[in-house]
Amino acid sequence: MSFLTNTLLQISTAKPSFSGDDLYRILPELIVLVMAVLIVILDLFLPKRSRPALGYLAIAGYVAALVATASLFYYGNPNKTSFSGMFIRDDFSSFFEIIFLISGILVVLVTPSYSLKRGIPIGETYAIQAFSVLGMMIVGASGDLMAIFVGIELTSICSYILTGFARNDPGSAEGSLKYFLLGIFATAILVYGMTWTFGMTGSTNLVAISQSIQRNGLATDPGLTLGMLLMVVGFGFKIAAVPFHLWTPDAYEGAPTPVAAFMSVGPKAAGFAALLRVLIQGLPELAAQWSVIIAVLAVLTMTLGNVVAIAQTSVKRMLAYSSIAHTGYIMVGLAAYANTSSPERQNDAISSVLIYSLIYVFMNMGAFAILIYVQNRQGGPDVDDFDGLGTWAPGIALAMAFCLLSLTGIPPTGGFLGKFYVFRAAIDNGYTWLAIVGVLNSAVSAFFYLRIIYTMYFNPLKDEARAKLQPTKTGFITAGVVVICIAILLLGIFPDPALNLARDGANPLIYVVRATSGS
Amino acid sequence: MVEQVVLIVAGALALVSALGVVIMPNAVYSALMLLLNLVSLATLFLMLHAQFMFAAQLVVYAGAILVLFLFVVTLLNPQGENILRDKRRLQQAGTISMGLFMGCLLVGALLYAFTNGNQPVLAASVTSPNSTYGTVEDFGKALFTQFLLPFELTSLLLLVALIGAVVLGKRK
Repeated sequence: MSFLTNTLLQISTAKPSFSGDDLYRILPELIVLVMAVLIVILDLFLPKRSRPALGYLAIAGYVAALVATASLFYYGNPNKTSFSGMFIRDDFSSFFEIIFLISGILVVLVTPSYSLKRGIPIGETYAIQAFSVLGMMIVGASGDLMAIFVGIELTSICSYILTGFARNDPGSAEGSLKYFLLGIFATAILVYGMTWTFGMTGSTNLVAISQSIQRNGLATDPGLTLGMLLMVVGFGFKIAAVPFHLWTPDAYEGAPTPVAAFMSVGPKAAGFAALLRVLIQGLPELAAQWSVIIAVLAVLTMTLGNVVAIAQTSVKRMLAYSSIAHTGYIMVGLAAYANTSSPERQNDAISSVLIYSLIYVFMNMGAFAILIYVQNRQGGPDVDDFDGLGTWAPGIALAMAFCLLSLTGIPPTGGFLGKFYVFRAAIDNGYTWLAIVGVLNSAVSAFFYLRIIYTMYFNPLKDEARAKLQPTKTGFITAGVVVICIAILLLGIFPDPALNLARDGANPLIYVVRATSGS
Repeated sequence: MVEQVVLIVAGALALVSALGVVIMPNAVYSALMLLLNLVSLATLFLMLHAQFMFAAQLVVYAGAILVLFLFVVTLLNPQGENILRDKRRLQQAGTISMGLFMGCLLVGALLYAFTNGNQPVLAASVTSPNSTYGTVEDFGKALFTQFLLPFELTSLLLLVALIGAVVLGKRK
């Protein structure tokens, strides 16, 4: 009760907490914002044929923001909150900003050849992607349910719009509408959960929530459990966890392929950032409850994603189910957090989630980039369209094989290490059965990934089909694929720098939890 | 005493009109039921001393958004079609029973939470006689100090929605 009057006093006497310091801490976000607005404005004045040049501006913006994030990271993040606790500049937010900015750069590289060919407006695409990246960065760096909500919505609304951008394709409109209707339903559930949490604890600030739970003994309160459950459902929709995944195949199939590539990495990582912040920073007292729920969801997600992916004939749809399966693997790492009280073990669990999210950006973007190349040449996204890719585009086929092996989790690729860290964290923290289910699922997934490799190298392309191959501009995509392959290889054989970054990134969450629990 | 009567009447109206939105056979009636629902919710907000929410609910939702709904419904002109009549009987039965199941689950959880759990922390302060929680002044202060960042971000949200609406609605 006294806590409550304190909060009320704080609200009524709070001074406008806003200074130059705050601006310095959100520098990466500001750079992306300025870049996005510049693209919107320039797009109106540039003649149509020079609009693709906006891609350079977008990449320059992302790279500048990446430099700003990296230097804030390198010179020691201040670990301070800005805007009355709404925004936290710590290693965790910096790590996720790096993930989001990299996915932003990669998606700019794979977009133009696809969009120009199909008459999709390119300037608006770049601008909305940039706003989406901005929303994700806010989610990763937010310390308050309100900021998380606005950031998630900014990202989601961008995704709904981008899905419907291919206006000559009725499937695009269908996917966009389905995604939108289910998405706002999930948002309503998410907000309802936040409302319950706010009502029970009296605050939307994550640290204040965890303090209030301790002070008022709310850990076993059914109202708070209800709020937690509803929020997990809402975030589960954003990361496409089973059974909240029903939008995924249709939205991915209808969306322009670069957009599907973007949705499968960026907003998904943002959903995980929100889950980590809310569950670990806001609701650590409820860990025993949410850990079981996340573990069960992880099993469902991995199994359904992999089993249904086997039956797909369209590579685009297969990658949609594969992205669901990978959500499941990442959730294993999240579930592993709760079963231990030693900070090192907790760090293992959180950092495995972070490093997997980073590796996943590269390997999934790579697979989608090559799918875009094949769609540009062949016209379709089916497995048959990969026939003989090893003969008519040997370099691309090799890169695809590499990305698919990484998605399967075979050494010496990054994908193997990602799975290794996640499953090791699960075994160390008493979730051995979960790790076994994960490994079995990886074996199942080998079937449909390797099938594409088989098609590329052992199914010959018929001569009449070869004559129909369309020309395409490959410059940007090749650059993207080369970057991706180098990154996957480096992460696979020389993972220490990235792993250390992830460990740093995981620390703030553990530190905050231990500070609030007074140990 | 008067407060309790108003509370019960407004609450009952909100429930009945919410059901009406779903059950009414005609989309125009559904929209009008929604209007009734919004007004009774606004009354509930007033009972909780949330004057700003009361005004916003009336002006923004009942005033602007509902009129937009009615415009869209009239423009699409459903011609007295019964929107509830679905040819696929089995699917309809499945949908209704699933909805009822989820509804019962939620109501059950709510009742359990209210009877077995702690009193929500906020409830006591909101209902205390000299509470300023929810007044226009408090609301404005919170919006422009504590919640400044989300408030500013909302403008980006609207900008993106505008761009999207223009691109998606443009003639080819």
